[in-house]
Amino acid sequence: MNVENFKHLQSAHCESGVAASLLTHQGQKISEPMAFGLGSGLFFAHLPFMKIMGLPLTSFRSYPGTILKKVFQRTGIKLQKRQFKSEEKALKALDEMLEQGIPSGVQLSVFWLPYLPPQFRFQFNAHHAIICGKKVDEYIVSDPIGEEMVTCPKEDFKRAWFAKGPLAPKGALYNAVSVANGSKDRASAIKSALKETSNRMLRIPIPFFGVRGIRLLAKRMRRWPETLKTPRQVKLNLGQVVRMQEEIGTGGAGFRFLYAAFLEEAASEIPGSRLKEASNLMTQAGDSWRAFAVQCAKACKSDDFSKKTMNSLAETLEKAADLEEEAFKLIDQCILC
Amino acid sequence: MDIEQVPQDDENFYDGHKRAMYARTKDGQYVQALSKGWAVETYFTAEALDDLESAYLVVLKDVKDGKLSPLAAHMTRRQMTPKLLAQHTGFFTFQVKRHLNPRVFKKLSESTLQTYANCLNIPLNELSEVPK
Repeated sequence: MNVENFKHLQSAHCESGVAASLLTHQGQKISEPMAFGLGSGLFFAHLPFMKIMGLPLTSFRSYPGTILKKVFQRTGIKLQKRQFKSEEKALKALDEMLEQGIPSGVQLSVFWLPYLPPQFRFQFNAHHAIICGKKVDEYIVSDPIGEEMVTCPKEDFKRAWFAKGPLAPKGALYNAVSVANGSKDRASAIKSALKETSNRMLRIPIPFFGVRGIRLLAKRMRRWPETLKTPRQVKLNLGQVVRMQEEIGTGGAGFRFLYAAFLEEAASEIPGSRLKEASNLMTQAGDSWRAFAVQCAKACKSDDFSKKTMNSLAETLEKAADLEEEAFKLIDQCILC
Repeated sequence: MDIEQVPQDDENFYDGHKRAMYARTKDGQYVQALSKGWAVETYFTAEALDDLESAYLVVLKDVKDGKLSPLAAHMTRRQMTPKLLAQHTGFFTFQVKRHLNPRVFKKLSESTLQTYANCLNIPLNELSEVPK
């Protein structure tokens, strides 16, 4: 059983990649950056009180699952999402979809996926991929991160699909439901997506989110050598931020380049707007994030956490925050006109 | 990021695969570009793995000294905490924590051990052994 005419699309990020692939299969013209932007994927959050493996949570993206949901809403195509308690029922539902020739998006835990290199297999439950075929005891998986389609043994797949813990997939199964008049007005969809991201980056009234979140991280980072007990802890905290920013699936600089690519595409959909300028600013912000990562690596390699170093790290972050603020203020103007 | 800046630090980090990024061409157009790996990312991932490994070695030593049951070692190897393992198995967290005690672990029934073996994806006979 294979889905015919399914084209694998390599992507920077798993969720926007799945959204773009499923929509392309539906005959929509949509690229990965467009899917990411329409899904309002860009975000920033730094929550010092929420710990992941003992380290504060830093996120560069919106909550897992929301990108898929929003892209489909904004393109006017119905997305059916199902979750299951029983593994048998879930596998049956998946097989039924394959028999009808419909590709299915699934949410998986990366830890149990044998086709990924071991260094990427952490306990993280919100990876997305597409199942587009089945052999005897194997599923054919189009994992957007990879260059090609891969196969995954049924047992491992089941384990990944029903992993427990935070963000547990519970057999999440996504299918696009064909609607004849799917396509909504792209320009207005882009504007509503921009508005949401801009609101979240600039106008959440508590300091943990958006550009204020970046500034909070910078402020706290300056004091890490005093507030954290050992240099090793400082190293791990810095490492956590950089890993969230760069580890496979962000397209570089914590999704900033992906979003800049979206803004560029949006500029051509809405002629006469200043979105191209916003794209340039976002690219510069991304470059600052990359510079921050390089500085971090340098500091960690030489165990240099002096006041001067931490100050320059924080300043790079503040520069990125300023650039992002400027970009979203420009975007605000573009939405109004 | 310009397309020439897309890192190609061949560190075999993606096991010979390439990952997608977005970068600008000379005309300022964004395109998808493939990267072989970035030294900075490799460094921090190696650090994180190193941290997991050293935590595992501490647990392994306690298991060998008889302070913890072999279950603790298998659990840590799967990057799990008692809470996460409890969610997978359906036991309470305090039960899993008790089972980390070697004396309690010895008395566990076959079916309890089988549940752990299934959730950790290891054969039943390996569960009671100290991993190599």
